[in-house]
This record gives sequence, C-alpha cells and structure tokens, in this order.
Amino acid sequence: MHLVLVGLSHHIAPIAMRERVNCSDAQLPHALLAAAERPGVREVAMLSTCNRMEVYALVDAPQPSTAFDQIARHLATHHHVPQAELTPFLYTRHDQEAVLHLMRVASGLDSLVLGEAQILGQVKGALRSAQSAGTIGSTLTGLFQQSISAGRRTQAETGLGKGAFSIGHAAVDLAGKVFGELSHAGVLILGAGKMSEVTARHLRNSGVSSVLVANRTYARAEALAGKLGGRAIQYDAFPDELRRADIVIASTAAPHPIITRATLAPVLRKRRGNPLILIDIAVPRDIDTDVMSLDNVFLYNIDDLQAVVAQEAQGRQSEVGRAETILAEECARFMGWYRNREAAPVITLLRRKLDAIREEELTLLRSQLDSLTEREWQKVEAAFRSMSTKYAKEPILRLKRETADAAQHAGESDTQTYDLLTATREIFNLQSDAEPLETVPGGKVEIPVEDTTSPVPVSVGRPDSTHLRWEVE
Amino acid sequence: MTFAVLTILSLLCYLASSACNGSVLLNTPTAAAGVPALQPTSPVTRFGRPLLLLGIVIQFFAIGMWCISTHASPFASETGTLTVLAWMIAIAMAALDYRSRLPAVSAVALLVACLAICGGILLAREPIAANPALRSQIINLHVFAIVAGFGLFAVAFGCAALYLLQNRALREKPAQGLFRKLPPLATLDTVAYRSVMIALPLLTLGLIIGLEQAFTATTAPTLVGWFSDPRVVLSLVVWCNYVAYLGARLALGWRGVKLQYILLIGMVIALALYAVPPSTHRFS
Repeated sequence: MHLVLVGLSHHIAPIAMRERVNCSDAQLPHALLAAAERPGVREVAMLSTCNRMEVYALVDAPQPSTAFDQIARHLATHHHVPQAELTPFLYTRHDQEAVLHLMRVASGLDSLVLGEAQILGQVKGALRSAQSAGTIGSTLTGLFQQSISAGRRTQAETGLGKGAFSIGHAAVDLAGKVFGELSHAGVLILGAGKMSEVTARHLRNSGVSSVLVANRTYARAEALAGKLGGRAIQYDAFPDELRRADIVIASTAAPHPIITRATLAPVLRKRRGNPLILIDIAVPRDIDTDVMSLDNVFLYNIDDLQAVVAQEAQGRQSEVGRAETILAEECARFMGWYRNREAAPVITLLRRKLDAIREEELTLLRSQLDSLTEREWQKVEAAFRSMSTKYAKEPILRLKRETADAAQHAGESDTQTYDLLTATREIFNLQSDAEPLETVPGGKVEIPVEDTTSPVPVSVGRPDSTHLRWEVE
Repeated sequence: MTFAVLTILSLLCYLASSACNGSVLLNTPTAAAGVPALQPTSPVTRFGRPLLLLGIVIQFFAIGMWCISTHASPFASETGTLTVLAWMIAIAMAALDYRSRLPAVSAVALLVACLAICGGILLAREPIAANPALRSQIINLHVFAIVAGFGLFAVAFGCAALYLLQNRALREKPAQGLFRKLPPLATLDTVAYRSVMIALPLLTLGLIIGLEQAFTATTAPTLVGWFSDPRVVLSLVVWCNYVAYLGARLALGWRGVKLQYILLIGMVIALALYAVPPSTHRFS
C-alpha cells in the first residue's frame, strides 16, 4: 500500500486551470465518492482551495505511478478536462513525501502568502468532508490530524504565522504601536469603498471602540457602518470628527487631498497632543503629505503599508528553517506510526499462515500415528509449535527491526522496508485482502507522542491501544 | 572590601540584565496576525528579569555591608548615595516591568543604574562625611526620598527618550521595523507618567524635610544662604518641572511629544544639579 498525493497548485497551474478542477463544498462529496470507487483506492481525501486541488489517497498499488494514473484520470474525467491538458500541471508525491507535503501545506509553507493560517482551516475542512463522505479510514485520518497538529505547532512555535499579511494587518500593527491596546481607539472612515472596509474590518476585529463612516453618498456610508457595527455621519461633518478620532482611514475618490495641514492644524490644537493616525489608501491620495510636519500625526499611504507587509514577509522567510525542523519531527512521528501499521498485518498474516501449515501437518500425522499416547502427542505438538515459531522468528524480527529503523530514519529512503514487506507477502503468498480496512468515520486517530528516535514497537492483530486509539465523536 | 565585591557583582547582574533585555532590539520580532504588535521577545530576554532581581538582592546586601563596616549612613558618601540611586532605579524598573513587560525600557534604565554604580566606584576613595547631621534619621529620610525620586525620574527619562525614538521610527521609516522593537507609544507614555506620579511625591517629601531642616537648624547657614545654593535652587526647579508635567497632563489633558520633552529637560536639570558645586548644601 502507498500513500499517494496527486494535485496541482498555484506554483505551476494557472488560475484558469485551477478553476476547472476546483470543487465547491457541495461538489466535494460526489468527487470523493467517485475517486473512492477507482480500483485500488482504499482511502481518499481532497483538499480544494482557490490555490490548490490535491487528492490524497491510500492505494493498493504495487507502484505509486499506477496510482498517479488512476487519480489523474479521475480528475480529468470528473472535471471534464482533457487529460493531456491537465497532466502537465499535475505533481505527485508518495509515502513520506506526500506526508511532508501535506504538513507543509497545513503550516502555510506552501501557501501563496507564506505562513498564512487560513489554509489550516481548509485542511480541517478537507478532513471533515472526507469523513462525512465516508471515504477516509484511519490512515488518512491520522495523516490529516497529524498535519493539522504540525500546522498548529509551526504557527505557535515559530514566527511563521505572525506579522502583517495584508495592508489591513499592517494598519493594525502600526496603530498598535501607537496606542498599544486599541480598545479605546475610535476609527473614522472617509469613503465607503472596498479597501476602507477591509482595513476597517481588521481594526474592528482588533477591538477598536467605535467606527464612524463618512461618504459623499450617505446611503453607502450607512451600509458600510451597518456592516462594521459603526455609525454613519454626513460627509461635511468629518472635519469635526477628526478631533475625536484616533485612526482615520481615507479612501475616497476625491481628485485632490481632502485633509491638509491647514485643515488639520486647528484640529490638532484641540486634540492637545493626542496621537492621530492617518491611513491614506486612496489613489490619488486623500491626505496631503505636508501634515507630516505636524507633531503627533502619523501618516501612512498605501506604499508604506505595503512596505511593512513586504518586510514582515521577509521576517517570516527566516522562520522557514525552524518550521521545517518541526515538520520533520512530526513527519517522523507519523511515519513511525504508519509503518508500524503497515508491518503489523504482514506479521499477523505470516503467523496465521505458519499456524495453518502446522495444524494441517499435525492433522495428517495424527491420522497416520494413532498409536501415540496423549502425552506423546503433546510433545509432538510442542515440537511442531516450537519449529514454526523458530521459522517465523527471524522474518518477524527482521520486519520489526526494519520498521523501527525506518521510523528512526524517516528522512531517508523508505524503499527497503517497503520491499521487505512486499517480499514477505510474495514469498509466503500472504493475501493482502485478509486485513479489512479500518475506518473511523467522524472519529479521531491518536498517534503516539513518543520519542521517534526510539524503536517503534510493532503491534500484531488489533491495534495496540497504547499506540493507536480511536475516538468516535 | 565585601561592599566592593558585592557592588561589582550587582553591577555585572544589571549589565547582563540590560544586555538580555536589550537583545529585543537585535532580533526581528513580529506581531500576531490581526493583533496589535506587542513587546518583542527573544529567548535571551527571559533572563533579564531574574538577573535584575538577583542584582537588587546583591545590592541590598552590599548597602547593608557598607552600613555595618562604616557605621554610617550610605548617604554619608557619594559612593553610597550613587549606589542607593542605582538600587532605586533597579527596584523601580523591576516593579514597572512586572506590571507591563518592558525589556527595552529596562535595558536603558539599567544602563543608567550601571553608570551610577560606576560613578560610585570611581568616587570610592572620597572620605566619608562625619557630619553628625547624617546620623539623623530625618536627614537620611530627606536624602533617601530625593534619591528614590530621582531614580524614578531616570526611568521616566528612559521612557521619554524611547518615546521620541519610537515616534520618529513610526513617522519616518515604518517599513524598517525599528518600531516593532520598541514598546508602543501609549505604553511608554503611561510608564513615564506612573514613574513621575510616584517620584514627585517622594521628591516633594524630600524637599519639605530639607526646607524644614533649613528653617529650624541652628548651626546651619542662613535661610538666604540656603536659597542661594545652586543645588537647592535647581532641586526646586526640578520639582517645578515635574509639577508642570503632571499639570499639563492631568489638568490640560496634554499628551504626546511635548510632554516627553518636559521629562528630558527634567533629567538634564537633575544632572546639572548633581554637577554644580554646592555652597551650603554639604556635609563633609
């Protein structure tokens, strides 16, 4: 079995192609069910956002490339895109690379805006959708949960999820550096455009106490004030409100500055030195730059805010290394758990096979040697049992050792373990469908939070409750 | 000897604490998305507060050792007075830092404390005043109140200096990120205000005790003599300066840059006060 990812993202696929394969929330269950019906697909989940469409699947395929063909075909047919057009934009990862990829995605390392946290919610949404559709089992549930956990860790333990992601954030940052807490600050919005709404919304979410909106068309001011939980005022009244406001967002369509040094100087005298932040996001600008010569006035235009955003992005870039280290740990933890689960069924099947051979031979022998006493039979059975255990011992130990080694060296090649598992199945003719798929619809898989550098114990038969616990919500 | 060792140890603690707190100016802090930028922190910054507290404890014992070994008040020498001044600055900073995390302010204030200790060390060879007045508890209270007040004024000065720096960073080069490394203007303004609110009553108490002593002392110079002493006059000017600060802030509702200049001027006058030679106000 392999964990396979097939997808396309903003890195290589243009928006025209991303739109064609994008799945809305309503379409996702159908797409999941269709993908799950593909031959060899045991579990499947899809992450569909405006920047990416990725299919994660657990497949019964000897080679991951086979699974790629299956999933690529599914994407093409389901979204009515010619496969020849789609394939050049598709990428694939398998097993550990797929795990690490999802963790990088959940952490925002693969996002268009580095470190943005929205993707984490979208990964959670993808998990919920797959659980609702019933196309996900314990393996992919574990993978998604571990990725969400990894995303949370990188956001919490590094500066990746911090700083200004937009001019709205930058405005909040700058206002915070003047006023500290924004809970006592009042905002005056001049112009009811989209940009002022977005900026004001950030400030509103940061706790500003009041929002006033002034617009030449009063109805639009009222509409925006309603959205922001503020109050509309007549446009002509805004100079009076400058006296009380702490933050002014100007985004009108006026062809000339509406706030100048001459209009602001008398207002500032009445403000008695209380700082005033002027955020001018209009083009052409609404606020004359000569106001900067006045004390306690902080004027920022769109370029200033964008420069702050760019600088923050640079700062986040320096956190990538730390985030990658965390993801490597989380990936190793998941791979240890996953490989353990991969080896366990093989060991179970091997033991069952040898037990069956032993029982078969004993039955045959019993019919031929009916003169033996019960005590002698017990000795014969014990000898057979001992022999089969000794036969099984070496391959089982080897499988366990390789699994543990693979968990320890999760960053290195995992080909050997997989070859060994496959070889064991082939040599002993072990039926792969002997173990049913364990599904946890709506459930939670717990991956042990243990030191991944220590050998990973291999559980045989039912999952060991200390290493794998399912909680059905 | 023990006093010297303990004083140097406390100096090292304050320097290390200042360096740890000052490390916030070197790292690249960021604010949580959607949340106003808070104080930057770095792993080293965490050691700032324990080192400061350790320095305060060590200096307490240093001052105690001084009193035991000299059988005199610490204010009987320049060294002792400056040591107490540094101690007051450190205590004030620890209290303010406990309330609102202020590594950048701590770094500046502790440097001032270190300068005071160094000044004390340089003046260690100065003779200890044997004036019996210095054995009077009321005189010691007079000096202590003034020294403690000046310690807090030093903290207010640090806040005002950082305020002007932050104000400049925010007005001119927000993209360069210096503004992230310093506390918000409102925080600096509030901490400076709180410092003055505590310091001014202390200074007032010190001056009232001093005036009372000047009026009642029999062996002291005349009243005219006292008030012609530049140190006494400048003390009153300092007091008036900080009264003006509080008046402007509380009565007139002033905020912003001008208030910070009043704080800077106050500290300049305070330093001048220390620098001018006293004519009557001496105990040695």
